[in-house]
Amino acid sequence: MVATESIMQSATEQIDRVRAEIRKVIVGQEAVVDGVLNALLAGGHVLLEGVPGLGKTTLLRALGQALHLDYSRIQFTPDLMPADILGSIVMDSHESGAKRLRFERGPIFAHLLLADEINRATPRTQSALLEAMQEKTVTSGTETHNLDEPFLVMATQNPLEMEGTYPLPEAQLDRFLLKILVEYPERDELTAIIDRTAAASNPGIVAALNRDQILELRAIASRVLVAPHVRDFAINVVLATQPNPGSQTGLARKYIRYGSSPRGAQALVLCGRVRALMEGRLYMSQDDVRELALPALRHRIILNFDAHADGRTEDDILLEILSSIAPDSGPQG
Amino acid sequence: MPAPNLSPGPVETLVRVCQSRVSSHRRRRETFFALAVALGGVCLLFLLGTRYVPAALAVLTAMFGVWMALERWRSDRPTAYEIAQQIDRREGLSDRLATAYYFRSVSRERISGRIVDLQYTHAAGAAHQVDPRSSFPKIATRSQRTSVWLFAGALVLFGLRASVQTELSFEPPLATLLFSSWFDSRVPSPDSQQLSPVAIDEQTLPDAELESQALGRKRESATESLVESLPEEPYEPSEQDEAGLPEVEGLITLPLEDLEAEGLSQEASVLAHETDDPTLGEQDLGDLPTDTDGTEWSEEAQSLLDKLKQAFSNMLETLDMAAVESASSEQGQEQGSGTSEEASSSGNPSETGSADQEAAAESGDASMEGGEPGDTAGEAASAGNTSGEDSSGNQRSGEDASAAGTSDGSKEFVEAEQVEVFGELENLYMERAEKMKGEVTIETRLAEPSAGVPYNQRFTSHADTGSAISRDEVPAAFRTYIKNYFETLRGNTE
Repeated sequence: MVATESIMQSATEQIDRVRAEIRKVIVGQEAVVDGVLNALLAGGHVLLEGVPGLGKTTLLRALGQALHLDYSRIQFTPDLMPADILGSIVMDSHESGAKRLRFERGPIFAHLLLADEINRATPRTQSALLEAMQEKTVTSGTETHNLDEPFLVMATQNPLEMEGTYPLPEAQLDRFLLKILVEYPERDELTAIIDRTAAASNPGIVAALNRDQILELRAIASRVLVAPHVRDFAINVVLATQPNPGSQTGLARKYIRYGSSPRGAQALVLCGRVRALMEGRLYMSQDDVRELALPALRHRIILNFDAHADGRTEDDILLEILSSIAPDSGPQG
Repeated sequence: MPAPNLSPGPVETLVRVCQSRVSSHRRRRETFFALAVALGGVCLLFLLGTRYVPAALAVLTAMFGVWMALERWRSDRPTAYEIAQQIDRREGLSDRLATAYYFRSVSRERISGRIVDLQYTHAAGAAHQVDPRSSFPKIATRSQRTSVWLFAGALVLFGLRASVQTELSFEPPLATLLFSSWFDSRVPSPDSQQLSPVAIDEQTLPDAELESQALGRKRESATESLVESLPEEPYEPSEQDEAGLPEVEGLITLPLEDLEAEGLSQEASVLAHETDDPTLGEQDLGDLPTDTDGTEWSEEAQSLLDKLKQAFSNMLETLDMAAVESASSEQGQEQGSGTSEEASSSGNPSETGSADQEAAAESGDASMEGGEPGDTAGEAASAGNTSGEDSSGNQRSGEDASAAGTSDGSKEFVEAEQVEVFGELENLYMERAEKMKGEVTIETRLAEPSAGVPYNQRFTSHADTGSAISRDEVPAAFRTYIKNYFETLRGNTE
């Protein structure tokens, strides 16, 4: 038990160290940093939505340095082709004169991938990420190449300037574990950002974790206890977003056109476990579900016309659903 | 790997203690719920009395409350796992105790891994800090408060009932008791009236009371005079009265003895038998008014009888007059039978219509002979047509009958000759028209053609379009460019 407790303590400390390293560069944005770390330890991908200049690219670079992982950045444009992301087959000439086809890996072969402004690429290019995100593999011709773990896609999209963009289809949105909104920094945070920018020397980020430690943390997170009543509460939240006749709340029938898929419940439990571990707990609670409901479900529900007409957002409806669901009493024991 | 310690730990102990507190709390709550239902029945009994709420119903209400309390006790019984969740919620432990309790006590697999043990250790530390008395305090439930209020209400109702009754009885409703006691207190009893008699002075009485007394006296005197005016002996018909009735066919008068023989006396006797009064039948028969004694009829009945007699006499006179008219019409029909046949052919084929036409013909003949005026025929014809037939046709037939009778059929003969002559003339004109050939010139009057609708100018002149261009339809931002463009064009043309 002592060994287990030490492992858990060390896990919490390691995560805290990573947070501290990232804070050297990123001022504020704790929810964004925790969300990206959560998605990384849960084995998912994250979609960041925010206006330009809020430090999304900087966050990815700092995360790669703090975790000692390879990272790459792709700026999505309308003329970007799938081969530009995945790689292509090239003719390789040997010194002896023999020629053979060789697969030249694209920038997707990295641990951390920043897909900047992903909604500016065509759907064909966007869908090139589907297999990589879900299966962690890349197929070129008849060859399938495995992506190295951990693999995190951090896509960004700009809520402004929607003209000329290709909004992500629901099938691809569902593959992102979390959708995190990057908000404007507070006044104090903005002051700190200015001070750091004006400083002569940039703070150096020290690697706090390596690849093996990250995988070990993943294994520990998967063993975090989830009691049945907590699991049932997560299921109730997901079911409440579905506008079927048996829905618990009338809110979904009124404002939601399509509710969350089962991936939403999976995301709640996976991220809830990681969040419990990040807070030094070996059990998941209903509070974890409440905290993660917005980033895990906001991109999995589609509102109808009434919601748009009434000025309701996904977050408003999810908060109302959470407040309307009573804590689950669990099975009879 | 060490053997897991599955003995009841602090978490299970805490959950068990809290569960016992919750159980006692629920027992108390359900007991008071049953008590509240029973007290409700008792209050209803005290309020409405056994006249409306039998005592058995109150007992049934109490039993119903006990049954409901038992059902609630069985259905809402929380499990230990749910108690652990309640502890977490009340103490803000974020499912720590419930998770530990589940994976150590409830889970079928009874997971005993390192993670579970470590989590249980953390939960045990939290369980030591939880006070079951603060987590589940003894508070007065709603059923307890309701029971107290109902008990107080029952006491009040019982006190009211006991205070207004000399001998306690639950039979009458409380409202009746209260009303009667209040009314008795307001209205003085007869004993008190005897103890303090008051001499009534008519001068001191108000006018309304004097009027009511006078009205009472008048009513008594009228009753006495009516009794005195009644004949003492039973009524017997006389022969003079029987002879006074007119002999009318269909009107049968039976003597009183026959009525008695046909069962009227039986009905009277049955009535007497039912009322156990043997004199009732005799009195009823004696009170029956008869037409034999005119002195016993009232004036209204006498006037009605007179009207009836007058009506019968009028009817008989009418019948005699009709017989005389029919005899005279038979004589007239022998002289003008052709006219009557024409009248019948122009009339309606129905029986009623033909009968009317016959009557009209008869009246027409009568006028020809100067017996009756001509208007009588028209009246008879219109009277006959009240059965729904065509009255105009019948009147025309009557007139025709009168004309034919005057010329004796020569008029039709002359008309037939005239029609024949006109026919020959028409044939002659038709033959001449077929043989006629040549040109026909039709002269008409020349006139100037004129339109009904005045002519208006429906289009605008060319100069008006310039004003349309100068209107504000051209956006202000482009106005300068358009003006320059047109000026350039104009300059090139010049």
